[in-house]
Amino acid sequence: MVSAIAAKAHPSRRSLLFGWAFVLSACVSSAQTLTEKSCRTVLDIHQFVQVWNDAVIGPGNRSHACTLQLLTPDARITGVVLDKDGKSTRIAETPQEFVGWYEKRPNETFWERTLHSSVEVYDNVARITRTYEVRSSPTAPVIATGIEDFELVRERTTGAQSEWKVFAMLWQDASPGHPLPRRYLPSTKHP
Amino acid sequence: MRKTVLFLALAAVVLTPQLHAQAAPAQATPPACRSTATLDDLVKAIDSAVTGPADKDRTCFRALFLPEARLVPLAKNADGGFSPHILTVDGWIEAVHKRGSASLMEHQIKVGTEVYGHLAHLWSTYETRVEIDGKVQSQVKGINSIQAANDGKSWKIQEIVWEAETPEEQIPSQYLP
Repeated sequence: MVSAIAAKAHPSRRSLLFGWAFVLSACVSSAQTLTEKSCRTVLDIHQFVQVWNDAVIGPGNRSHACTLQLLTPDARITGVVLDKDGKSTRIAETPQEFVGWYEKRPNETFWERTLHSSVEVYDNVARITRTYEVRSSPTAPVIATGIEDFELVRERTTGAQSEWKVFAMLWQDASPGHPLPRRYLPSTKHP
Repeated sequence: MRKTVLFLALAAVVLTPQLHAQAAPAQATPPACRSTATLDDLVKAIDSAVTGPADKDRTCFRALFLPEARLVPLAKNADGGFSPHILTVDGWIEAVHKRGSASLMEHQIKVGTEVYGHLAHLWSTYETRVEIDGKVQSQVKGINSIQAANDGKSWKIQEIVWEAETPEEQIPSQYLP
């Protein structure tokens, strides 16, 4: 699977979702109607994780305006994937490539939640490290877990308002050779 | 990271290019570069690679970065907002080189680390000083926010975003030693 991932430049975490393509797209159809105007902006850095999490949930063919709005135009999303020998490869995507991967999977449903996160912030720069959990629905089995590490900047947009946006994101799936450390897991089990 | 240094360098390029004609030539033999096998090593290697004459050999500085790395000072715009200004490694080296024999010093004074698998984030408070002819021209603190990746042998920088401290926005105490 990993060699195919590298050849297609597809992050492994999302490739794992192929087998779960058939459920629940109807349940989240309302997400398809999202436009930029209905997207939430991040004025407080501590709101980011929830807004990001909400933006990535839904069927592949929904509007991805809200995800794009959380990324700077020159943002870079880089996945670290491992081959069968454990050798790592980095796969970098632009914002358009990042959401384009989802758009090519109109029948798949993507559902995530955040198990743990931490924030550091100084003035206009911030770091967020998030532990994600991927399922095809809230009640489906866990497909993947891993870490997303965000580099964020606060940019002035319209008027005097400043929004936090992702300038770079680096992620890696958990794997048998790289289980998630206890510090990146919730202290109590989620319901 | 080196926002002040960079700005000084860029200003010098625009305003006083004639001053750089006397820049000292690069060293003929590059020094041995520090290991970046661990994240602690990487922090020390950053300090070592930045510190020294502005026009020093930057072989070791280049060795710290992945080929696609970006160096990103957050700079104030005309409208008062801040935006990232993206530099390549060579772009940074070129800008700093124009400072000639000015002496640069950078020291990471407190570093917080997040690490998982082949990725890491260093949240580092830096201190920089620029001297010319033994006189301190500027001294400033700031935050380096560094994403790094491990290729199985060593850690390399993928992105580094930095913002210098201002009188209006002091570095919070939890980021100071």
